[in-house]
Amino acid sequence: MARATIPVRVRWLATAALCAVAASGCGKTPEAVFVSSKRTTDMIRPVQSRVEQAVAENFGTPQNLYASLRLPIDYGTAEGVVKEGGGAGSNHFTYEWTKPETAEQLKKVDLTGAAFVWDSGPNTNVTITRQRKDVPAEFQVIGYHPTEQSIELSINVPDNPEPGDKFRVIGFGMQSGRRLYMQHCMHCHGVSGDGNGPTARYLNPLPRDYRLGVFKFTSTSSRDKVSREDLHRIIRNGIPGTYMPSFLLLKDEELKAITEYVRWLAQRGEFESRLNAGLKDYSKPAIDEREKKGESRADVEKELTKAATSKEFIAEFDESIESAFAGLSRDWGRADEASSVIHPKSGRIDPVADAASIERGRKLYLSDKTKCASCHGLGGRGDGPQTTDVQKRSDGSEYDKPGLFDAWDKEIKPRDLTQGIYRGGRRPIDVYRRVYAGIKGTPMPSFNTALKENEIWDIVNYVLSVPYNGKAPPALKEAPVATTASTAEE
Amino acid sequence: MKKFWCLFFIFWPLVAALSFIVAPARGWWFPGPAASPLGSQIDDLFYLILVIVSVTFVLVMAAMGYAVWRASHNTEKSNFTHGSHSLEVIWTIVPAGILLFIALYQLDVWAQYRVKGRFPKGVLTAPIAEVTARQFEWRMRYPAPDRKFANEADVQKWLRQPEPGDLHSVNDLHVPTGTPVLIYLRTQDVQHSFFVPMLRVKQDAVPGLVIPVWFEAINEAKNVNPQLQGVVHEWVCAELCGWGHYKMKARVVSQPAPVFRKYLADLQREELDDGAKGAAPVAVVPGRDADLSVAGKQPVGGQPAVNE
Repeated sequence: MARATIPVRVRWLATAALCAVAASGCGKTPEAVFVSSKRTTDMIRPVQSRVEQAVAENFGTPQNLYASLRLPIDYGTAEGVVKEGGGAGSNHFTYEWTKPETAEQLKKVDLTGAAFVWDSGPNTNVTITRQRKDVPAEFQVIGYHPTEQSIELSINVPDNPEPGDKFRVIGFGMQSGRRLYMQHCMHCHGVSGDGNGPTARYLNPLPRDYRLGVFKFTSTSSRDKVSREDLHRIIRNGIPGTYMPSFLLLKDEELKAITEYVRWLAQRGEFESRLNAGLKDYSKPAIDEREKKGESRADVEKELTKAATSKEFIAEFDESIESAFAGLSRDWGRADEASSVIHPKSGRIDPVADAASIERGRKLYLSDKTKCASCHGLGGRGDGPQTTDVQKRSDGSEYDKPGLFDAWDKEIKPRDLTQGIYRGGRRPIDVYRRVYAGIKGTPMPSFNTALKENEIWDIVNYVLSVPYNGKAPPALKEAPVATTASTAEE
Repeated sequence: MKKFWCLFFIFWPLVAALSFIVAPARGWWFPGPAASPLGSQIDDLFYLILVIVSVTFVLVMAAMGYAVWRASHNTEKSNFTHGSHSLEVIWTIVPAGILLFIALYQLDVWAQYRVKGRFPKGVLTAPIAEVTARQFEWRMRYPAPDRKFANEADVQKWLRQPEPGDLHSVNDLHVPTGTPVLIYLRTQDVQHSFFVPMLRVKQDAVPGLVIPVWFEAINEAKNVNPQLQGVVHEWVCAELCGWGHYKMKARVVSQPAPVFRKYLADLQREELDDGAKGAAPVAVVPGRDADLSVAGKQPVGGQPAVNE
């Protein structure tokens, strides 16, 4: 009987081919890159590359982050001294940490890849020749052996480090923040923090784009940035009513590392937009505008390109880098100062003892003084008349469709207060801060000047009573303890 | 070659028989002993079924091995027969009998777990919390600590209409230990599943339904987390609910009743915080970096983290 047989060699080949397909998987993972904002890519070529270069020089790439020490960021720094050098021309030495209490913890941290700075000794001002130019050496830790207490560096030291030479290792916290961010956050918020990760398109509302440096739910006053504690709280508790889930089960140090990395990404994005702020004349929309007015496009582009390569422009641009750093350092540093956090002087009015408070709040809510109902609606359903009006942008132009928009130019709805879902937190202090300082990046204004403290509390009581048919949660009976540890402990 | 296949078919029942004994004894791939009394009964059922299927499996494989071995000596061309009628009757009736036995034997445990009338007394009118699953987290709503429910209708009213004294938390369900507790399970969006392996509890959360689920956690001293004064049970979603399914990991913490009451009191204090008294914010972040004044920048190298 004739049998159709497959030659043995073909069978082996087929198996090998199948294994090769399986081993290669579903294609290559794309390499992580920081992308430029649209405002940057809208610039004419020379200006765009200048901005991109400035950002890259100060912040690096996802694979090789730069820690600008001018920014108020805790990159994770360890200080140590040399115990014994490995000899001139070698790249290793033994060390001792300056603070013995951190030594145990540092044993568990991987310092490989972190930056290394000599603070004293013969190697402080080592330069290396790169492209026919002497530049300060950028040391990096390439080997870390906590049991032998030795460190290997990326560059050989010309002089043998002497015992007692001081050094710092910078950036291990940042590395762990990046690792965690890439694992848990990147798929929505994107590698650059632009809110455009691969899963972002499934979400409504969209994930936050950090690059404006604006975060909505903060405890700080309306002119201040988000504080570390706010970000930590949001990552830990999530944002109900959105796709931001709670990361409660992460360890506290992991949450801190993510918080710091998010702050860094936000400052990176804000740095870029601060540079762009003064360069509007060089952008496509500005050129379009001039073309419309009758100028020749080629002429305009030629003129701008010439201006952008002038000495004055470069000097001005370098100055804007300095002022961007100064601004970032000032603003983000201030956000974590205790004085930036909003604390009402008197406690909340007890809506049970003072039953009229809710009614007073309702009248204020409906009044012309606050105009709450114009957005949130008479019944608090978030359907006020403003939501069907055409709104204006900050530059005076009108949006092309009716509705409210946020700083990211996305249509947003005023909160439906009947739902009992509070994105920024449901504690009375959270709602107080929303009214007092407004919600940053949204049309929700701050009422700290228009309303007195007790009036804000009346509104808070009214808002908190809307989901419960007119009954608000009771006020706290006793003074709160400093830490509500039971919900915060691991 | 024929002999090889005989040995092949005898080898696997040996491996299976060995793993049926070794795996439960050594705890391989097992979630550890049940931390609840009903869970122990469920485990007993599991082991009973494990014994039945392992014996059946070994017998069937041995019979097959024997048949193949005997036939391997036979050089005649095979001929096909109808087979044995009585043998077919036996291998239909015996498994049917076994299945019927399992079906009847497990009824009691099933009823205790699922039938409202067999729930521990009073548990239906003393819910610990309402648990709402959503993409991709679990949100808890505890009744106010002093809230007492008169009857089931009162509980239903509470489930329909939230009350101002309710307390809220996320991904963190605390329950008192040593007593049956009940949660009402619901979902805000798609189907999810409440799964706490240590407590042997698994229940789908179905859109449109509010499902009572009860369990009792017994704390074993060696598992107690000293900081929480309770045992942390891993809690996951067991229904593929979307792209973020893997994120739906939470914890159930079983604590002695006084510690549980203190937890609720702390939660209440946190939730009613008006930020005025004791104004010091909770210190969760380090102070500003002392190195801020240093100008300049340093590279922070490392491997790309994307591929991890």
